[in-house]
Amino acid sequence: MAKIVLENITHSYNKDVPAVEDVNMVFEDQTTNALLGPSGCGKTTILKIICGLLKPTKGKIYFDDEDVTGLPPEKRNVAIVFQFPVVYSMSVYDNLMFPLLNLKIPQEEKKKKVLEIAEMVGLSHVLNAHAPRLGPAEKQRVAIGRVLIREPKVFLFDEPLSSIEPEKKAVLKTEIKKIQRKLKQTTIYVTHDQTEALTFAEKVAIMDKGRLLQFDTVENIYNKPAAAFIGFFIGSPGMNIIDGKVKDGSIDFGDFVFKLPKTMKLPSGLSDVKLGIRPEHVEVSTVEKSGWYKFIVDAYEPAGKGFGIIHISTDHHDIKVRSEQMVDEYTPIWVNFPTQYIHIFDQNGMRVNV
Amino acid sequence: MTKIEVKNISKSFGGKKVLDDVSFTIDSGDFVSILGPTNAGKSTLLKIIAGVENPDSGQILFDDVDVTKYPPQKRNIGVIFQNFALYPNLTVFDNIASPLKAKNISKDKIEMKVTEQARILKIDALLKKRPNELSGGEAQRTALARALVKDAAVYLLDEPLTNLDYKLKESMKIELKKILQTKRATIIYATPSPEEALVFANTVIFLYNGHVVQTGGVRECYTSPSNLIAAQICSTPPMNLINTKIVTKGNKDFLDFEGKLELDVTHLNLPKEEKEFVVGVYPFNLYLNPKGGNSIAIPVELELQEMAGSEMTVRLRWNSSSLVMYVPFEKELESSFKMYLDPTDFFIYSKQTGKLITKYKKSGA
Repeated sequence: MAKIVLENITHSYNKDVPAVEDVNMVFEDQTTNALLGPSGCGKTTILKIICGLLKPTKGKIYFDDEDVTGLPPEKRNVAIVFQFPVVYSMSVYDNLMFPLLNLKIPQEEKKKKVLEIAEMVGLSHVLNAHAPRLGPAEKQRVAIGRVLIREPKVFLFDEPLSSIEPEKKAVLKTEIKKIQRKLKQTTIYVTHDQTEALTFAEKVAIMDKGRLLQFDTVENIYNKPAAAFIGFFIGSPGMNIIDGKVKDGSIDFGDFVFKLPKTMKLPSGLSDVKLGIRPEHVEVSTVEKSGWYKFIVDAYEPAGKGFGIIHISTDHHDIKVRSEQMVDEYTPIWVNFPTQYIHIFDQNGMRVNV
Repeated sequence: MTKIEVKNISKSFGGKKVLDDVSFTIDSGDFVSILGPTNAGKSTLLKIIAGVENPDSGQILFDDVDVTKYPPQKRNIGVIFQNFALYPNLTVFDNIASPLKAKNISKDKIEMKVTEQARILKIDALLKKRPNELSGGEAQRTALARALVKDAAVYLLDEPLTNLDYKLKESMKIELKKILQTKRATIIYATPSPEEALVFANTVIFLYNGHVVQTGGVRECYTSPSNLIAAQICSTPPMNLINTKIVTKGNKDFLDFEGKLELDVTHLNLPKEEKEFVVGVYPFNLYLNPKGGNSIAIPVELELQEMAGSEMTVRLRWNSSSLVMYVPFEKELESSFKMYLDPTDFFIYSKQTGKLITKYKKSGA
C-alpha cells in the first residue's frame, strides 16, 4: 500500500504540445480514485507515468516518500488490469497460481491463497476451466484475481469494463466495488465513462486537454464543478451553459436578465460570464409566472424513466430542462433558475462563485 | 412514402434460426422502431427489407407489390448502418455525393443537394476534408448526409447512434429526429435502446430471439408491456420482476412476497387455476421517499450504488429478489435503508404464460 504523489508532471510525446501539463495530485494511501476525461485528455499518459512505462519529461513521482521517477515498472510493485483481459493459456487455477510460482512459501499456503482469491473474484466454480475459453467477463475476473494475489502496492484499472458483455457489467461492478472495500488498496481507475468513475471512486480527477481540472469528491464534482466543462461532462444531459454579461448586480442574457442574489460574491471587474444550471434543477411551468423566463419548446424527448427532457429556446439561447409532464412542440414554457443551483464561470469556463 | 408489409419472414444462418415467422405492417409515412437486445434479429430483418439479404421464406411487400426478389437498387431505400464506412480516399463532399453520381444527375444539381444536406447536418465547413481528418461525430454526420442526400421513400437506420460517445448521442438524438421528420418517407429505426425508440418512433415493434413479442403505439407499449419479455426490453435498466404466490385467507386472496408483504388481490379476479405470479415494477417507480398516499416502506439491502451523473442506479436486495431503482443524485446511501413503492405501479404477469394479466388497482378504484 502506498500514497502516490505526482509533482509538476509534464509530458510531451513530441516537442509542440504536451500531452499532460503541470499535473499535481496526491492519491492518499488506501483510497480509491478515478481518472476521468474524454479521449485525448491525458489520463492514459498519467497512468503510464504512475506504473513506470513512461518517464515524464518534467516533474517527479513519489510512492510514499520514495522518489520512483526513474524506477522501471517491475520495481514499483504496481498491478494493472487492462481493458482487454489478459489470460495465460492454462487453467484458471494455474493462472491464479502463476504469480506465486517463484515465491518461497509452502505449497499448502499457495494453494490456500489461490482458493481464497478465486472465491473473492467469483471463479471457484470454474477453477479447472481452460482460461482462454471463458467469456470476456470471466477472463477479466481471472486477470483481476491474478493481480490481487500479488498483493501489489498500487492497483491500476485501465477501462476494465469497456470490453465486457453489457449484461454482465453490473455484477462485475458490484464485485469490484466489494473487493475494493475489503482490501483497501490504493486504487486508480482510469475511464472515459462518468458512471464508472463516480461509482468506483471516492475521489475523481477530471482531465481535459492535458490539464487536471478538478480532483475532488464525487459530491463536489457534481455540486461544485470547477469548470463549465465538468458541469457539462458529468450528468446526462449535461449542465446548461449560458453566455451573458454582468451588469449592475445582474447577468444580462439578451433575452432575459438574471438577478444575482446579494449573498453571491463575484470577483470585481467580471464582464463576460457563463451561467451554469443543470436540467434537473431548472423549475418549469406551462403557465405564465411573474419573474420567470419565457422559452419556446423545440422538442420533447421522452426518457422512459418517469420524466422527459424538454429542449427549449429563446432567440439567443438553447437549453434543456427536465419535466415529468409531456409538453407540445412550439408552445411557450416558463422557467426559473433557483439561486442555490446556479454556477458562474468566467470567460474561460473556470468557476468563480463559491 | 411506402407501406411496408413483412409477411411470415424466416431466416436461418448455419442452422440457427435468426428470424422466425416475423410478420407486421408499417403504414406509409410511419416512424417505426424495432426494439430488441443484441442478437434479436434486428439487423437481419433490416437487411431483408433493404434487399441485401434474402429470406428463407416469407414475403416483403411495398405498397402491395411483392418486392421479395427485387435487388436493393430497385427498392428506393436509404440505409444507415451502425458501422458506417466512408470512402477514405474521397473528400466529405464526394462521399456525400456518391449515391447521386450513379444516377444521371447534373453536376450543378449534385452540388446543390450535397451542400444543402451538409448544411442541415452542420458539416458544410468540412466538405473538402478527408475521413481521417474527421472526429467520430463528424464522420457519423457525413455518413448520415450520404444516406439522406437522395430522396428515398423508405429509410432504414440500424443503430445509427450506438457507436457515438454519450455526449454526442445526447445532442444527435433530437437533431436526427428533426431531420428525419423533414423527409416524406417511411422510417424504420432499429435500436437496443428503449430511450431512443421512445424518441424516434410512433410505433414500436419489440423483437426478441427472432420473434415479434409486441407491437403497437410507443406510449401504449411502454405503459403496458403485454408480456414478461416486452417488459424487460422496454426499459433500461429492465423492469424489476418479483416472484409471488397466492395465499388464501378466509375468503380473501393475497399476493405473498416471501412473507414480507401481502397484497390483497381479491378484487382483481386473478385466474383461479394459477397460484404463482410475477410482479413487475419499473426502476423509476421505486423511491427513496414516500410518494403519494399509497406508498409502502420496504426495508432493503444496498448492493451497488451507481452514479450516472444526474441520477443514481441503485442495485438492492429485497428478500431473494435483486431490484434496481433509478433515483436522483444523492450522497452515499446506507448499507440498509428503506425504499418506497406504490402497488398501483405493479404489473401482474402470469408466471406460466408470461402474459400481462392486469395492472394492480386498489379495491373499489
